[in-house]
Amino acid sequence: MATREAGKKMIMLKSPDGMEFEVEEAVAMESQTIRKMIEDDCADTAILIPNINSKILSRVIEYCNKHVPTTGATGAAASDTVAPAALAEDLKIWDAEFIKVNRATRFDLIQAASYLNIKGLLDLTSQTTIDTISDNSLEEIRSFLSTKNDYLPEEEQTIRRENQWAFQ
Amino acid sequence: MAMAAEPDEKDFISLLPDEILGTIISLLPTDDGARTTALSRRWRHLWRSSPLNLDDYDISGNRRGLNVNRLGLGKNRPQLISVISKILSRHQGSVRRLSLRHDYYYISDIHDTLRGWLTSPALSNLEEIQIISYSYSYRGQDPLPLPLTMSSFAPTVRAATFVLCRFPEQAPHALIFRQLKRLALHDVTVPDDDLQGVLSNCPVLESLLIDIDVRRTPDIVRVLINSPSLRIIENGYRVQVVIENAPRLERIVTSRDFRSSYYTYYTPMFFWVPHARKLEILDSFRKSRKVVLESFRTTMRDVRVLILKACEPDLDDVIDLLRCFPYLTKLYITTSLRKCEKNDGHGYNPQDPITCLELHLTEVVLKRYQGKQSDVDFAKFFVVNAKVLESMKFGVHDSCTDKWIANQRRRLHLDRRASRDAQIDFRSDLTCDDFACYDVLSVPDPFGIRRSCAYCSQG
Repeated sequence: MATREAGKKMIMLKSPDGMEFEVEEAVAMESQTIRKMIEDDCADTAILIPNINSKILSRVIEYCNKHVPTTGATGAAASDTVAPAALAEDLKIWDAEFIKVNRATRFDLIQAASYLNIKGLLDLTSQTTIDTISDNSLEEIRSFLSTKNDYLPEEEQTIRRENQWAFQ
Repeated sequence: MAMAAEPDEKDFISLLPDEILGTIISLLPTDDGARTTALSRRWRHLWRSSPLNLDDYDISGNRRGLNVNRLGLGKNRPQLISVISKILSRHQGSVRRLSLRHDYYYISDIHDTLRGWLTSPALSNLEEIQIISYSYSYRGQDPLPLPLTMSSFAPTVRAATFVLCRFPEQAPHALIFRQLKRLALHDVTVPDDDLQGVLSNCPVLESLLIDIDVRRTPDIVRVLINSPSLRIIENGYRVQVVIENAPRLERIVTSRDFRSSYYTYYTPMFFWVPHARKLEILDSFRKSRKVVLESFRTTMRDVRVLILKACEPDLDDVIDLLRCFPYLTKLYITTSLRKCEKNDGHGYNPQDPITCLELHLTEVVLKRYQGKQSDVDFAKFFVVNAKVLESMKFGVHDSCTDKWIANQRRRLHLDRRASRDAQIDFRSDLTCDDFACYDVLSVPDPFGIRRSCAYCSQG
């Protein structure tokens, strides 16, 4: 599937722990942050990605590699490059596998997706948290997120009263 | 889908920066967002300063199926209104999405409050608006016009839905949606019926749904489309949509059942679609098929991808359709095939071949194949006549045995296939009913309704 055609422009991404990743420019440009750097001509040799370690960066690149063909072309020419039905379904399944990581990794991925501005990855990584918060009781949410309730009981009462309608 | 508690883990989420937590909160329903303030001190001020998703259905409890009147219509209406006013006046961030679905548009003093909401400075970065002014209690009455104060936030809106709304008198001149990409208009009234005027104020519009009841606005019978940016048009089939110039148009969705006699009074068709390449047909076209086929023949020659959602199409219908699309490369049929009808293709004369079957059609997908005689005959037509076919997929039930599939292969006369290299696949993962999950198009669902289905949640 990912046959690399000759002549494709490659970009070097560097993580702060010294690893280097050579990726196709189109793959790197899944990140709006990197896209902007490339378009502003700030990306001659290698791009240092601060704050994202090599383990997370490699996973982000894995995600972009997988997603580049279907989300890349949105121009008018896209009509001839319709993603096959099976591919769209496979991607969903692939995403579900990709996000089966522990919570520490997931939150690292959220941060990376946010910094690199990769909307699909941010949506994917945030969704579990959104599902956790939606329609669960405060106690359940705290337990899922390991968030400690540091309010005094009377403080919590005041806060609940401010938006009483949401707690009915 | 709640994940299992992992009690030993650190509170990673609270370490995320405000901005990311704000993004997560802004995607929550309004009530869930408000409740995050009580989680812990870390969350105390986030909801109030994050981009707000304000949906009155979330506040009144409709979303969670709570008693509709928990805080909404009738005697609770003042309370709902005061909650919305309070949220808007205290909010320190911007409002990302505003959805108003209660009946504020029929009572003049509430309408003044509404005007106040819509002038709130918090709306200066609004991305999405949905206004639905349908109300059982006021059925048949005209709602009050939407306040012109919408013009202050219109420039930032990217997606808008208006249902049964009256646009203000000055709308065509004053409401400029500079960044609007998605617009859905259901039964709106527009001053002087100048829908073109409204549309011309949306210079980057990519997807448009028009579903206008001509009984309410009898003068809007025809809408002219001139847009450099439109990619998707969905026509609810009650007005004529005439495409004069839309160079980027690639997907036309025709919905509504126009078998019913009411719709056949009109010529429910698109005209002059020079560049459209994908076409979805949502329902049967038997009653007005002559008109429909004629207009397809003259205007849709360029279509490459045809998605047929018609109820139980029969082979003769499909043969007639295929003749309209000489360049068709992909055909997807997403509903069951017609039952108890002869689908033997005897109406097809190989001396008068169908161009796309001879030269272009490479992929056929039958999403719900049950293997009855009529299904077999239907599919066999393509096996025997599609000369450049590369792939044919059959969506079958996951309880199908290998023996059943082997039997089907035999009945399909694969030995007589016109294209020797065609791959024939039986797949149990194509049977999902929801088209959104099976999106063969490179663009997302035009109106962003993420309907989930059994298949997806399993995935």
